[in-house]
Amino acid sequence: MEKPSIDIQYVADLARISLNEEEKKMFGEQFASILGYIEKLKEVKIDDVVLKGEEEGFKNNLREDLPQDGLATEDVLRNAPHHANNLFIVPKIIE
Amino acid sequence: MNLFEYTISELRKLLVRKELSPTELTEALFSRIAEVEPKINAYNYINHERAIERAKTINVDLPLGGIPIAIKDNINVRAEPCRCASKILEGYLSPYNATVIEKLIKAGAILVGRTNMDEFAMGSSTENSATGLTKNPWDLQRVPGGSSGGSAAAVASHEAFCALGSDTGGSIRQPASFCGCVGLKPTYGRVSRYGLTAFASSLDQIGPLTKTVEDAALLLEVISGFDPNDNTSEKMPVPRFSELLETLSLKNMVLGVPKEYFIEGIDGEVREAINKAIAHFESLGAKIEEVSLPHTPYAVATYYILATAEASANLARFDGIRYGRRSKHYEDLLDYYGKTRDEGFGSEVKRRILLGTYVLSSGYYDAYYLRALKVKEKIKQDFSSVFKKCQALLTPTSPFCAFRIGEKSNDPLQMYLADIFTIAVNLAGICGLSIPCGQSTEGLPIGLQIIGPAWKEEVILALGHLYQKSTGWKPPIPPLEKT
Repeated sequence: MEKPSIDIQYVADLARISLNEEEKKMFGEQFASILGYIEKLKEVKIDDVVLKGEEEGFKNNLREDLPQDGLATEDVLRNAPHHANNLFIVPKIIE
Repeated sequence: MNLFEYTISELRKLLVRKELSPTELTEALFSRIAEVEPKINAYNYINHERAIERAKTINVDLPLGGIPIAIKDNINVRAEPCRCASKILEGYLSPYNATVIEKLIKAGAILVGRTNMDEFAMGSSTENSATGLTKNPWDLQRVPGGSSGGSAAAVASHEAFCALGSDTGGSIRQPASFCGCVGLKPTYGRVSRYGLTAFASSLDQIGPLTKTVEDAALLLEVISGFDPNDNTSEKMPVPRFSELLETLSLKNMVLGVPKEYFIEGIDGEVREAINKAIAHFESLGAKIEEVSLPHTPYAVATYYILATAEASANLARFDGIRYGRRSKHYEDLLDYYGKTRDEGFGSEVKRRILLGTYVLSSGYYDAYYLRALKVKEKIKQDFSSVFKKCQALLTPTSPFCAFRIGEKSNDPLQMYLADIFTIAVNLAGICGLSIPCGQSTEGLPIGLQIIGPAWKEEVILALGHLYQKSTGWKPPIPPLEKT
Protein backbone atom coordinates (compact mmCIF):
# COMPACT_ATOMS: atom_id res chain seq x y z
CA MET A 1 0.00 0.00 0.00
CA GLU A 2 1.17 3.50 -0.83
CA LYS A 3 2.26 5.40 2.28
CA PRO A 4 0.33 8.66 2.62
CA SER A 5 2.56 11.70 2.98
CA ILE A 6 1.67 14.75 4.98
CA ASP A 7 3.15 18.24 4.95
CA ILE A 8 3.35 18.80 8.70
CA GLN A 9 4.45 22.44 8.46
CA TYR A 10 1.47 23.31 6.24
CA VAL A 11 -1.01 21.58 8.56
CA ALA A 12 0.55 23.11 11.69
CA ASP A 13 0.24 26.59 10.12
CA LEU A 14 -3.43 25.95 9.35
CA ALA A 15 -4.00 24.74 12.93
CA ARG A 16 -2.06 27.70 14.40
CA ILE A 17 0.29 25.50 16.39
CA SER A 18 4.03 26.23 16.32
CA LEU A 19 5.96 22.97 16.28
CA ASN A 20 9.66 22.48 16.90
CA GLU A 21 11.74 20.19 14.67
CA GLU A 22 11.53 17.30 17.11
CA GLU A 23 7.72 17.50 17.25
CA LYS A 24 7.49 17.73 13.47
CA LYS A 25 9.52 14.55 13.11
CA MET A 26 7.54 12.69 15.79
CA PHE A 27 4.11 13.70 14.47
CA GLY A 28 5.23 12.96 10.89
CA GLU A 29 6.10 9.37 11.78
CA GLN A 30 2.97 8.85 13.85
CA PHE A 31 0.71 10.27 11.14
CA ALA A 32 2.19 7.90 8.59
CA SER A 33 1.15 4.99 10.79
CA ILE A 34 -2.29 6.41 11.69
CA LEU A 35 -3.12 7.43 8.11
CA GLY A 36 -1.90 4.04 6.92
CA TYR A 37 -4.41 2.44 9.26
CA ILE A 38 -7.19 4.79 8.11
CA GLU A 39 -6.60 3.71 4.49
CA LYS A 40 -8.66 0.60 5.26
CA LEU A 41 -11.83 2.68 4.88
CA LYS A 42 -11.26 2.48 1.12
CA GLU A 43 -12.38 -1.15 1.30
CA VAL A 44 -15.93 -0.11 2.23
CA LYS A 45 -18.48 0.21 -0.56
CA ILE A 46 -20.17 3.56 0.08
CA ASP A 47 -21.78 4.40 -3.30
CA ASP A 48 -25.23 3.49 -1.99
CA VAL A 49 -25.05 5.80 1.04
CA VAL A 50 -26.97 9.07 0.82
CA LEU A 51 -26.26 11.26 3.80
CA LYS A 52 -29.00 13.18 5.53
CA GLY A 53 -29.10 16.63 4.01
CA GLU A 54 -26.99 15.66 0.99
CA GLU A 55 -29.96 15.82 -1.37
CA GLU A 56 -32.69 17.86 0.29
CA GLY A 57 -30.36 20.20 2.22
CA PHE A 58 -30.14 20.84 5.94
CA LYS A 59 -32.70 22.54 8.11
CA ASN A 60 -31.51 24.52 11.10
CA ASN A 61 -32.76 23.45 14.49
CA LEU A 62 -33.34 26.82 16.15
CA ARG A 63 -34.79 27.68 19.51
CA GLU A 64 -37.37 30.44 19.92
CA ASP A 65 -35.82 33.85 19.50
CA LEU A 66 -36.44 35.21 22.96
CA PRO A 67 -34.11 37.56 24.83
CA GLN A 68 -32.20 35.90 27.67
CA ASP A 69 -29.75 37.12 30.26
CA GLY A 70 -26.14 36.72 29.24
CA LEU A 71 -23.16 36.10 31.49
CA ALA A 72 -22.11 38.85 33.88
CA THR A 73 -19.27 40.95 32.37
CA GLU A 74 -17.28 40.62 35.58
CA ASP A 75 -17.49 36.79 35.48
CA VAL A 76 -16.38 36.67 31.88
CA LEU A 77 -13.48 39.12 32.18
CA ARG A 78 -12.15 37.36 35.28
CA ASN A 79 -10.75 34.68 32.97
CA ALA A 80 -9.12 37.00 30.44
CA PRO A 81 -5.31 37.08 30.54
CA HIS A 82 -5.43 40.82 29.79
CA HIS A 83 -8.36 43.17 30.02
CA ALA A 84 -9.10 46.84 30.69
CA ASN A 85 -12.19 49.08 30.64
CA ASN A 86 -14.46 46.02 30.26
CA LEU A 87 -12.61 45.03 27.06
CA PHE A 88 -10.27 42.18 26.15
CA ILE A 89 -6.75 43.35 25.37
CA VAL A 90 -5.48 41.57 22.26
CA PRO A 91 -2.02 41.43 20.71
CA LYS A 92 -1.22 44.25 18.30
CA ILE A 93 -2.57 43.45 14.85
CA ILE A 94 -1.78 46.61 12.84
CA GLU A 95 1.69 48.13 12.84
CA MET B 1 -19.61 -1.66 57.03
CA ASN B 2 -17.94 1.73 56.51
CA LEU B 3 -20.12 4.61 55.37
CA PHE B 4 -18.01 5.13 52.24
CA GLU B 5 -18.90 1.64 51.01
CA TYR B 6 -22.61 2.40 50.62
CA THR B 7 -24.41 2.88 47.32
CA ILE B 8 -26.59 5.90 46.54
CA SER B 9 -29.80 3.91 46.90
CA GLU B 10 -28.75 2.63 50.34
CA LEU B 11 -27.70 6.13 51.44
CA ARG B 12 -30.98 7.64 50.21
CA LYS B 13 -32.92 5.41 52.65
CA LEU B 14 -30.70 6.38 55.59
CA LEU B 15 -30.90 10.08 54.74
CA VAL B 16 -34.68 10.16 54.30
CA ARG B 17 -35.19 8.28 57.59
CA LYS B 18 -32.83 10.84 59.24
CA GLU B 19 -30.57 8.03 60.42
CA LEU B 20 -27.75 9.86 58.71
CA SER B 21 -27.22 13.58 58.09
CA PRO B 22 -25.83 14.93 54.81
CA THR B 23 -23.02 16.58 56.79
CA GLU B 24 -21.97 13.30 58.45
CA LEU B 25 -22.09 11.60 55.08
CA THR B 26 -20.06 14.29 53.32
CA GLU B 27 -17.46 14.35 56.12
CA ALA B 28 -17.18 10.54 55.98
CA LEU B 29 -16.49 10.80 52.26
CA PHE B 30 -13.83 13.48 52.77
CA SER B 31 -12.09 11.25 55.33
CA ARG B 32 -12.01 8.47 52.76
CA ILE B 33 -10.68 10.90 50.14
CA ALA B 34 -7.92 12.01 52.53
CA GLU B 35 -6.94 8.37 53.06
CA VAL B 36 -7.06 7.16 49.46
CA GLU B 37 -6.31 10.17 47.29
CA PRO B 38 -2.51 10.21 47.86
CA LYS B 39 -2.39 6.75 46.26
CA ILE B 40 -4.91 7.24 43.44
CA ASN B 41 -4.88 10.94 42.44
CA ALA B 42 -8.41 10.79 41.06
CA TYR B 43 -9.28 14.41 41.80
CA ASN B 44 -7.93 17.62 40.24
CA TYR B 45 -9.80 19.86 42.62
CA ILE B 46 -11.70 19.35 45.86
CA ASN B 47 -14.02 21.88 47.47
CA HIS B 48 -14.46 20.66 51.03
CA GLU B 49 -15.79 23.90 52.47
CA ARG B 50 -18.38 24.52 49.77
CA ALA B 51 -19.63 20.92 49.99
CA ILE B 52 -20.04 21.04 53.76
CA GLU B 53 -21.80 24.42 53.58
CA ARG B 54 -24.29 22.94 51.15
CA ALA B 55 -24.71 19.70 53.13
CA LYS B 56 -25.85 21.70 56.16
CA THR B 57 -28.92 23.12 54.43
CA ILE B 58 -29.85 20.46 51.88
CA ASN B 59 -33.39 19.05 51.68
CA VAL B 60 -32.97 15.27 51.90
CA ASP B 61 -36.37 14.62 50.33
CA LEU B 62 -35.10 15.71 46.92
CA PRO B 63 -34.27 12.86 44.47
CA LEU B 64 -30.52 13.08 45.24
CA GLY B 65 -30.88 15.11 48.44
CA GLY B 66 -27.58 14.96 50.35
CA ILE B 67 -25.73 12.68 47.94
CA PRO B 68 -22.12 13.76 47.24
CA ILE B 69 -21.03 13.52 43.60
CA ALA B 70 -17.73 14.01 41.73
CA ILE B 71 -17.67 15.81 38.37
CA LYS B 72 -15.29 15.27 35.47
CA ASP B 73 -12.99 18.24 34.90
CA ASN B 74 -14.57 19.13 31.52
CA ILE B 75 -18.07 19.98 32.83
CA ASN B 76 -18.59 23.61 33.88
CA VAL B 77 -19.52 24.35 37.49
CA ARG B 78 -19.94 28.04 38.29
CA ALA B 79 -16.97 29.59 40.15
CA GLU B 80 -14.97 26.34 40.03
CA PRO B 81 -12.03 25.46 37.82
CA CYS B 82 -12.87 23.55 34.63
CA ARG B 83 -9.40 22.77 33.52
CA CYS B 84 -10.01 19.80 31.23
CA ALA B 85 -6.67 18.56 32.62
CA SER B 86 -4.97 21.07 30.31
CA LYS B 87 -2.25 23.62 30.84
CA ILE B 88 -4.09 26.00 28.51
CA LEU B 89 -6.99 26.32 31.00
CA GLU B 90 -4.80 26.94 34.02
CA GLY B 91 -6.54 29.35 36.38
CA TYR B 92 -9.84 29.30 34.49
CA LEU B 93 -13.00 29.65 36.61
CA SER B 94 -16.35 28.77 35.03
CA PRO B 95 -18.72 31.71 34.69
CA TYR B 96 -21.76 29.39 34.49
CA ASN B 97 -23.20 25.96 35.29
CA ALA B 98 -23.61 23.21 32.71
CA THR B 99 -27.23 22.06 32.36
CA VAL B 100 -26.42 18.73 34.06
CA ILE B 101 -25.00 20.68 37.01
CA GLU B 102 -28.16 22.81 37.27
CA LYS B 103 -30.16 19.57 37.31
CA LEU B 104 -27.94 17.94 39.96
CA ILE B 105 -28.16 21.02 42.18
CA LYS B 106 -31.94 21.12 41.81
CA ALA B 107 -32.05 17.41 42.73
CA GLY B 108 -30.11 18.09 45.95
CA ALA B 109 -26.71 16.58 45.06
CA ILE B 110 -23.57 17.88 46.76
CA LEU B 111 -20.64 18.60 44.44
CA VAL B 112 -17.37 17.53 46.05
CA GLY B 113 -14.79 18.10 43.35
CA ARG B 114 -13.45 17.65 39.84
CA THR B 115 -12.02 14.38 38.59
CA ASN B 116 -8.90 13.87 36.51
CA MET B 117 -9.07 12.94 32.85
CA ASP B 118 -7.05 12.81 29.67
CA GLU B 119 -6.56 16.38 28.44
CA PHE B 120 -9.76 17.54 26.71
CA ALA B 121 -11.03 13.93 27.01
CA MET B 122 -8.52 12.74 24.42
CA GLY B 123 -7.09 9.43 25.52
CA SER B 124 -7.80 6.02 26.96
CA SER B 125 -5.56 5.96 30.03
CA THR B 126 -5.69 9.33 31.88
CA GLU B 127 -1.95 9.54 31.26
CA ASN B 128 -2.40 12.67 29.09
CA SER B 129 -3.20 14.94 32.02
CA ALA B 130 -1.46 18.20 32.86
CA THR B 131 -2.18 17.50 36.53
CA GLY B 132 -0.47 14.12 36.74
CA LEU B 133 -1.74 10.61 36.19
CA THR B 134 -4.44 8.71 38.04
CA LYS B 135 -3.73 5.15 39.17
CA ASN B 136 -5.88 2.06 38.96
CA PRO B 137 -7.15 1.12 42.45
CA TRP B 138 -6.70 -2.59 41.63
CA ASP B 139 -3.02 -2.20 40.79
CA LEU B 140 -1.27 1.12 41.30
CA GLN B 141 1.14 0.34 38.46
CA ARG B 142 -1.70 0.29 35.95
CA VAL B 143 -3.85 2.95 34.27
CA PRO B 144 -7.49 3.48 35.26
CA GLY B 145 -8.50 3.76 31.60
CA GLY B 146 -9.75 6.98 30.10
CA SER B 147 -10.63 9.55 29.44
CA SER B 148 -12.92 9.59 32.53
CA GLY B 149 -10.23 7.71 34.49
CA GLY B 150 -10.49 9.98 37.54
CA SER B 151 -14.26 9.46 37.80
CA ALA B 152 -13.93 5.67 37.45
CA ALA B 153 -11.02 5.36 39.89
CA ALA B 154 -12.80 7.60 42.43
CA VAL B 155 -15.98 5.50 42.34
CA ALA B 156 -14.13 2.15 42.36
CA SER B 157 -11.93 3.14 45.32
CA HIS B 158 -14.97 4.54 47.18
CA GLU B 159 -13.68 8.10 47.25
CA ALA B 160 -16.87 9.04 45.40
CA PHE B 161 -20.33 7.49 45.65
CA CYS B 162 -20.96 8.44 42.05
CA ALA B 163 -19.50 10.64 39.36
CA LEU B 164 -20.25 12.19 36.01
CA GLY B 165 -18.04 11.44 33.04
CA SER B 166 -18.21 12.09 29.32
CA ASP B 167 -18.01 9.49 26.55
CA THR B 168 -16.99 10.32 22.97
CA GLY B 169 -15.57 6.93 21.96
CA GLY B 170 -15.73 4.89 25.17
CA SER B 171 -14.48 7.39 27.76
CA ILE B 172 -17.05 6.34 30.39
CA ARG B 173 -17.38 2.62 29.64
CA GLN B 174 -13.70 1.71 29.16
CA PRO B 175 -12.46 3.23 32.48
CA ALA B 176 -15.51 1.74 34.25
CA SER B 177 -14.42 -1.63 32.87
CA PHE B 178 -10.75 -1.13 33.89
CA CYS B 179 -11.66 0.00 37.43
CA GLY B 180 -14.55 -2.38 38.09
CA CYS B 181 -17.47 0.03 38.36
CA VAL B 182 -20.60 0.76 36.33
CA GLY B 183 -20.52 3.25 33.44
CA LEU B 184 -23.30 4.33 31.11
CA LYS B 185 -23.09 6.16 27.77
CA PRO B 186 -26.63 7.40 27.09
CA THR B 187 -28.19 7.74 23.64
CA TYR B 188 -26.90 10.78 21.74
CA GLY B 189 -29.28 13.65 22.57
CA ARG B 190 -30.53 12.13 25.86
CA VAL B 191 -28.41 14.40 28.07
CA SER B 192 -27.71 18.07 27.38
CA ARG B 193 -24.13 18.89 26.40
CA TYR B 194 -24.51 22.57 27.34
CA GLY B 195 -21.52 23.35 29.53
CA LEU B 196 -19.54 20.25 28.56
CA THR B 197 -16.30 21.37 26.94
CA ALA B 198 -16.78 20.09 23.40
CA PHE B 199 -14.38 17.52 21.96
CA ALA B 200 -16.39 15.94 19.10
CA SER B 201 -19.85 17.48 19.31
CA SER B 202 -21.63 14.84 17.23
CA LEU B 203 -20.37 12.03 19.51
CA ASP B 204 -19.98 13.49 23.03
CA GLN B 205 -22.45 12.46 25.74
CA ILE B 206 -22.36 12.98 29.51
CA GLY B 207 -23.19 9.93 31.61
CA PRO B 208 -22.96 8.41 35.11
CA LEU B 209 -20.25 6.26 36.72
CA THR B 210 -21.58 4.44 39.78
CA LYS B 211 -21.13 1.41 42.06
CA THR B 212 -24.32 -0.31 40.89
CA VAL B 213 -26.64 -0.26 37.89
CA GLU B 214 -29.46 0.84 40.19
CA ASP B 215 -27.47 3.99 41.03
CA ALA B 216 -26.74 4.65 37.34
CA ALA B 217 -30.51 4.58 36.68
CA LEU B 218 -31.14 7.07 39.49
CA LEU B 219 -28.51 9.46 38.19
CA LEU B 220 -29.57 9.18 34.54
CA GLU B 221 -33.13 10.04 35.51
CA VAL B 222 -31.90 13.31 37.03
CA ILE B 223 -29.54 14.47 34.27
CA SER B 224 -31.62 13.54 31.18
CA GLY B 225 -34.00 15.65 29.14
CA PHE B 226 -34.34 18.22 26.38
CA ASP B 227 -32.51 21.50 26.87
CA PRO B 228 -33.12 24.56 24.69
CA ASN B 229 -29.44 25.44 25.22
CA ASP B 230 -28.32 22.31 23.36
CA ASN B 231 -30.01 22.02 19.99
CA THR B 232 -28.82 18.45 19.60
CA SER B 233 -30.65 17.32 22.74
CA GLU B 234 -33.94 15.63 21.83
CA LYS B 235 -37.49 16.26 22.96
CA MET B 236 -37.91 12.67 24.16
CA PRO B 237 -39.80 11.71 27.31
CA VAL B 238 -37.51 10.65 30.17
CA PRO B 239 -38.66 7.31 31.61
CA ARG B 240 -38.39 6.68 35.37
CA PHE B 241 -35.39 4.44 34.79
CA SER B 242 -35.03 3.47 38.46
CA GLU B 243 -38.63 2.27 38.63
CA LEU B 244 -38.34 0.22 35.44
CA LEU B 245 -35.38 -1.86 36.64
CA GLU B 246 -37.47 -4.74 37.94
CA THR B 247 -40.06 -4.82 35.17
CA LEU B 248 -38.04 -6.66 32.54
CA SER B 249 -38.88 -10.23 31.61
CA LEU B 250 -36.22 -12.32 29.89
CA LYS B 251 -38.92 -14.53 28.43
CA ASN B 252 -39.07 -13.85 24.67
CA MET B 253 -35.96 -11.72 24.96
CA VAL B 254 -33.24 -12.22 22.35
CA LEU B 255 -29.74 -11.03 23.22
CA GLY B 256 -27.32 -10.74 20.32
CA VAL B 257 -23.65 -11.65 20.47
CA PRO B 258 -21.84 -9.90 17.58
CA LYS B 259 -19.17 -12.22 16.22
CA GLU B 260 -16.90 -9.31 15.21
CA TYR B 261 -16.38 -8.54 18.92
CA PHE B 262 -14.75 -11.90 19.58
CA ILE B 263 -11.73 -11.40 17.38
CA GLU B 264 -8.22 -12.73 17.69
CA GLY B 265 -6.18 -10.60 20.02
CA ILE B 266 -8.84 -10.43 22.70
CA ASP B 267 -7.44 -11.54 26.03
CA GLY B 268 -8.29 -15.17 26.93
CA GLU B 269 -9.52 -14.35 30.42
CA VAL B 270 -11.70 -11.52 29.09
CA ARG B 271 -13.24 -13.88 26.54
CA GLU B 272 -13.89 -16.47 29.23
CA ALA B 273 -15.54 -13.98 31.61
CA ILE B 274 -17.79 -12.60 28.84
CA ASN B 275 -18.83 -16.09 27.74
CA LYS B 276 -19.69 -16.88 31.35
CA ALA B 277 -21.83 -13.73 31.60
CA ILE B 278 -23.59 -14.63 28.34
CA ALA B 279 -24.29 -18.14 29.68
CA HIS B 280 -25.65 -16.57 32.84
CA PHE B 281 -28.23 -14.56 30.87
CA GLU B 282 -29.12 -17.73 28.98
CA SER B 283 -29.64 -19.61 32.25
CA LEU B 284 -31.99 -16.83 33.36
CA GLY B 285 -34.17 -17.45 30.30
CA ALA B 286 -32.85 -15.16 27.55
CA LYS B 287 -32.38 -16.50 24.05
CA ILE B 288 -28.81 -15.92 22.84
CA GLU B 289 -28.20 -15.44 19.14
CA GLU B 290 -24.99 -14.85 17.22
CA VAL B 291 -25.31 -11.75 15.04
CA SER B 292 -23.04 -9.86 12.68
CA LEU B 293 -22.06 -6.18 12.59
CA PRO B 294 -19.93 -6.40 9.46
CA HIS B 295 -18.55 -2.84 9.54
CA THR B 296 -17.10 -3.16 13.07
CA PRO B 297 -13.48 -3.36 11.79
CA TYR B 298 -13.86 0.15 10.33
CA ALA B 299 -15.13 1.88 13.47
CA VAL B 300 -11.79 3.03 14.89
CA ALA B 301 -10.59 4.50 11.57
CA THR B 302 -13.94 6.26 11.05
CA TYR B 303 -13.81 7.65 14.55
CA TYR B 304 -10.30 9.05 14.24
CA ILE B 305 -11.34 11.03 11.17
CA LEU B 306 -14.65 12.38 12.46
CA ALA B 307 -13.61 13.00 16.07
CA THR B 308 -10.33 14.72 15.17
CA ALA B 309 -12.03 16.82 12.48
CA GLU B 310 -14.57 18.08 14.99
CA ALA B 311 -11.88 18.55 17.64
CA SER B 312 -9.78 20.70 15.31
CA ALA B 313 -12.74 23.08 14.95
CA ASN B 314 -13.89 22.93 18.59
CA LEU B 315 -10.43 23.57 20.03
CA ALA B 316 -9.81 26.58 17.77
CA ARG B 317 -11.42 28.64 20.54
CA PHE B 318 -8.42 28.10 22.84
CA ASP B 319 -6.29 31.04 21.78
CA GLY B 320 -5.55 32.75 25.10
CA ILE B 321 -7.51 35.89 24.19
CA ARG B 322 -10.75 35.63 26.17
CA TYR B 323 -9.60 33.03 28.68
CA GLY B 324 -6.84 30.56 29.34
CA ARG B 325 -3.09 30.72 29.26
CA ARG B 326 -1.34 33.16 26.94
CA SER B 327 2.22 32.86 25.65
CA LYS B 328 4.43 35.63 26.95
CA HIS B 329 7.01 35.76 24.18
CA TYR B 330 5.93 36.28 20.60
CA GLU B 331 6.81 38.32 17.54
CA ASP B 332 3.52 38.91 15.76
CA LEU B 333 -0.10 37.74 15.85
CA LEU B 334 0.42 34.40 14.11
CA ASP B 335 3.45 33.69 16.26
CA TYR B 336 1.32 34.55 19.30
CA TYR B 337 -1.38 32.02 18.35
CA GLY B 338 1.14 29.33 17.43
CA LYS B 339 3.15 29.68 20.64
CA THR B 340 0.12 29.99 22.91
CA ARG B 341 -1.31 26.76 21.51
CA ASP B 342 2.03 24.93 21.35
CA GLU B 343 2.78 25.75 24.99
CA GLY B 344 -0.77 25.19 26.23
CA PHE B 345 -1.71 21.88 24.60
CA GLY B 346 -0.19 18.48 25.37
CA SER B 347 1.07 16.10 22.66
CA GLU B 348 -2.10 14.04 22.20
CA VAL B 349 -4.27 17.15 21.82
CA LYS B 350 -1.86 18.62 19.26
CA ARG B 351 -1.78 15.30 17.42
CA ARG B 352 -5.56 15.22 17.13
CA ILE B 353 -5.93 18.88 16.17
CA LEU B 354 -3.30 18.40 13.45
CA LEU B 355 -4.87 15.17 12.20
CA GLY B 356 -8.32 16.79 12.16
CA THR B 357 -6.97 19.85 10.35
CA TYR B 358 -5.36 17.57 7.77
CA VAL B 359 -8.46 15.47 7.03
CA LEU B 360 -10.50 18.66 6.55
CA SER B 361 -7.88 20.47 4.46
CA SER B 362 -8.40 21.30 0.83
CA GLY B 363 -8.13 18.24 -1.41
CA TYR B 364 -8.58 15.70 1.40
CA TYR B 365 -12.12 16.43 2.58
CA ASP B 366 -13.87 13.94 0.26
CA ALA B 367 -11.27 11.23 0.66
CA TYR B 368 -11.34 11.30 4.45
CA TYR B 369 -14.15 13.24 6.09
CA LEU B 370 -16.97 12.58 3.62
CA ARG B 371 -15.98 8.93 3.27
CA ALA B 372 -15.91 8.54 7.07
CA LEU B 373 -19.39 10.06 7.36
CA LYS B 374 -20.65 7.45 4.91
CA VAL B 375 -18.95 4.55 6.70
CA LYS B 376 -20.50 5.88 9.91
CA GLU B 377 -23.89 5.49 8.20
CA LYS B 378 -23.01 1.85 7.37
CA ILE B 379 -22.11 1.20 11.00
CA LYS B 380 -25.43 2.71 12.06
CA GLN B 381 -27.30 0.49 9.58
CA ASP B 382 -25.52 -2.61 10.96
CA PHE B 383 -26.98 -1.86 14.40
CA SER B 384 -30.47 -1.05 13.07
CA SER B 385 -30.62 -4.36 11.29
CA VAL B 386 -29.51 -6.49 14.30
CA PHE B 387 -31.88 -4.60 16.60
CA LYS B 388 -34.75 -5.88 14.46
CA LYS B 389 -34.16 -9.35 15.85
CA CYS B 390 -32.67 -8.73 19.28
CA GLN B 391 -33.32 -6.30 22.12
CA ALA B 392 -29.72 -5.80 23.23
CA LEU B 393 -26.16 -6.94 22.48
CA LEU B 394 -23.57 -8.45 24.82
CA THR B 395 -19.86 -7.78 24.17
CA PRO B 396 -16.62 -7.18 26.06
CA THR B 397 -16.15 -3.49 26.92
CA SER B 398 -12.43 -3.74 26.20
CA PRO B 399 -10.34 -6.49 24.57
CA PHE B 400 -8.01 -6.51 27.60
CA CYS B 401 -7.81 -5.55 31.27
CA ALA B 402 -6.10 -2.38 32.54
CA PHE B 403 -2.66 -2.05 31.00
CA ARG B 404 0.51 -0.83 32.67
CA ILE B 405 1.35 2.86 33.00
CA GLY B 406 3.52 3.80 30.02
CA GLU B 407 2.76 0.59 28.12
CA LYS B 408 0.94 2.27 25.23
CA SER B 409 1.81 5.93 25.66
CA ASN B 410 4.44 5.99 22.91
CA ASP B 411 2.28 4.36 20.27
CA PRO B 412 -0.87 6.40 19.60
CA LEU B 413 -2.35 3.84 17.23
CA GLN B 414 -2.14 1.05 19.84
CA MET B 415 -3.79 3.42 22.34
CA TYR B 416 -6.59 4.17 19.85
CA LEU B 417 -7.24 0.44 19.44
CA ALA B 418 -8.03 0.19 23.19
CA ASP B 419 -11.45 1.62 22.28
CA ILE B 420 -12.17 -0.89 19.55
CA PHE B 421 -15.37 -2.23 21.21
CA THR B 422 -16.83 1.04 22.47
CA ILE B 423 -16.41 3.43 19.53
CA ALA B 424 -19.15 2.04 17.26
CA VAL B 425 -21.80 2.81 19.90
CA ASN B 426 -20.93 6.53 19.73
CA LEU B 427 -20.83 6.51 15.93
CA ALA B 428 -24.30 4.92 15.84
CA GLY B 429 -25.64 7.34 18.49
CA ILE B 430 -27.03 4.45 20.56
CA CYS B 431 -26.58 3.59 24.27
CA GLY B 432 -24.12 1.30 26.05
CA LEU B 433 -23.52 0.16 29.62
CA SER B 434 -20.39 -1.40 31.12
CA ILE B 435 -20.74 -3.56 34.23
CA PRO B 436 -18.13 -5.63 36.08
CA CYS B 437 -18.39 -9.34 35.22
CA GLY B 438 -15.34 -10.94 36.75
CA GLN B 439 -11.63 -10.60 37.41
CA SER B 440 -8.45 -11.79 35.77
CA THR B 441 -6.06 -14.08 37.68
CA GLU B 442 -4.06 -10.91 38.43
CA GLY B 443 -7.15 -9.51 40.16
CA LEU B 444 -7.99 -6.96 37.46
CA PRO B 445 -11.67 -6.19 36.71
CA ILE B 446 -13.29 -7.28 33.44
CA GLY B 447 -16.23 -5.35 31.97
CA LEU B 448 -19.29 -6.62 30.11
CA GLN B 449 -20.79 -4.15 27.65
CA ILE B 450 -24.56 -4.22 27.13
CA ILE B 451 -25.50 -2.25 24.01
CA GLY B 452 -29.07 -1.10 23.40
CA PRO B 453 -30.93 0.68 20.60
CA ALA B 454 -31.39 4.45 20.73
CA TRP B 455 -33.68 5.61 23.59
CA LYS B 456 -33.76 2.13 25.19
CA GLU B 457 -31.60 2.81 28.26
CA GLU B 458 -34.32 1.20 30.39
CA VAL B 459 -33.62 -2.14 28.66
CA ILE B 460 -29.85 -2.18 29.14
CA LEU B 461 -30.19 -0.86 32.70
CA ALA B 462 -32.73 -3.57 33.56
CA LEU B 463 -30.45 -6.23 32.07
CA GLY B 464 -27.47 -4.92 34.01
CA HIS B 465 -29.51 -4.73 37.20
CA LEU B 466 -30.77 -8.28 36.72
CA TYR B 467 -27.19 -9.48 36.28
CA GLN B 468 -26.02 -7.72 39.44
CA LYS B 469 -29.00 -8.91 41.48
CA SER B 470 -28.82 -12.52 40.35
CA THR B 471 -25.05 -12.73 40.90
CA GLY B 472 -25.25 -11.01 44.31
CA TRP B 473 -23.03 -8.06 43.26
CA LYS B 474 -21.51 -6.06 46.08
CA PRO B 475 -19.16 -3.19 45.14
CA PRO B 476 -15.77 -4.56 46.28
CA ILE B 477 -13.02 -2.65 48.06
CA PRO B 478 -9.89 -2.70 45.87
CA PRO B 479 -6.48 -3.35 47.48
CA LEU B 480 -4.93 0.04 46.47
CA GLU B 481 -1.54 -1.63 46.18
CA LYS B 482 1.10 -2.40 43.60
CA THR B 483 0.83 -6.03 42.58
